[in-house]
Amino acid sequence: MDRPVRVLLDVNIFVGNIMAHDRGHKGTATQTLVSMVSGQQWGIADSAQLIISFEMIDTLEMVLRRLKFSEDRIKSYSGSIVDIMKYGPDALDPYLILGGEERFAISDVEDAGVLATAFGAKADILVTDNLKDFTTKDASTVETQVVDTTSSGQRTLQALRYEIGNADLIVAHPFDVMQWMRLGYDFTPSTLWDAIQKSGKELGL
Amino acid sequence: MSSTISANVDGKTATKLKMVASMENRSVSNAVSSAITVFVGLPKGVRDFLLELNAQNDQETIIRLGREMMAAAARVRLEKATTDLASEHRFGGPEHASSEIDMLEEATALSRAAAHRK
Repeated sequence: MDRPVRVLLDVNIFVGNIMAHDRGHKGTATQTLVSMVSGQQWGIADSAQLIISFEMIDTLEMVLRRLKFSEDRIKSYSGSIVDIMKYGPDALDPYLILGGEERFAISDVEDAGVLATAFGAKADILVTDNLKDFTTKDASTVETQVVDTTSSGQRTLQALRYEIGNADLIVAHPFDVMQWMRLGYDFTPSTLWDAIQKSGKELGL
Repeated sequence: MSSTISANVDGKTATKLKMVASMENRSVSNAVSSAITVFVGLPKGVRDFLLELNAQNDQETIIRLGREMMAAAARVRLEKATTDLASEHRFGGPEHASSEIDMLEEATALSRAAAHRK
């Protein structure tokens, strides 16, 4: 890609990152993605620009507050995320991203806001565990892999593509994103989508 | 024990200093004190390079360097903040064994619950 990949990491990725560190994990998908984006890196050769909105920061802080972390530690974590966005290669400002959630047929207002942020900031990829809530009639869908979970049994992961106006966005699970990175996929949404569809067909999903 | 130190600067630097102090809501003396603390804490090579850029009035490089330093600082700050939060083991600590996908589902449930409480 000849420009930084614009990456929106959903709140669950940042929470999953702390949880993985807390439980002594190393090299999980959330840890790798947060570490890569904070270092402005994407895969081997690309650079990354983080995207996040103040609404998402607010939700992240709320999660941490409910877990009774001190305000200083919460602000230090969220403040550093805002700085990573501001001092990224495209120098984006969370205050200046305009959304417009009413455009999307998503029942959850929070998720509609996340999608609006992704479109407002011209994100290439939105990484989330919560794929179900982003699936609407406006999105094209490809099933990518099946994973076993303790709470919900077998779960089929999907990749979604939103093409609205000039915007082109892929919504994907962190497991898939890591896999595509390992395979050296180009993250230009149209190119990535072709590769995802091809590998989905090969797997027979 | 504190010591008083005086220094001569040109008019332009003095004006800039007053502006910085005013913008950051601190006294000129406090701004000077912070500047000295930072300066003496930097490795000599970095100090020399910064002074060289300043002498050449190379604003473009100064701004680029400032941005790169801020980006590096943000990354280190995030790593430290993550370590600090994780050290409290509010997610159960290492004895709370769970697979990666289960952790993600837990993180999603926590995020959704917080979003709906707003």
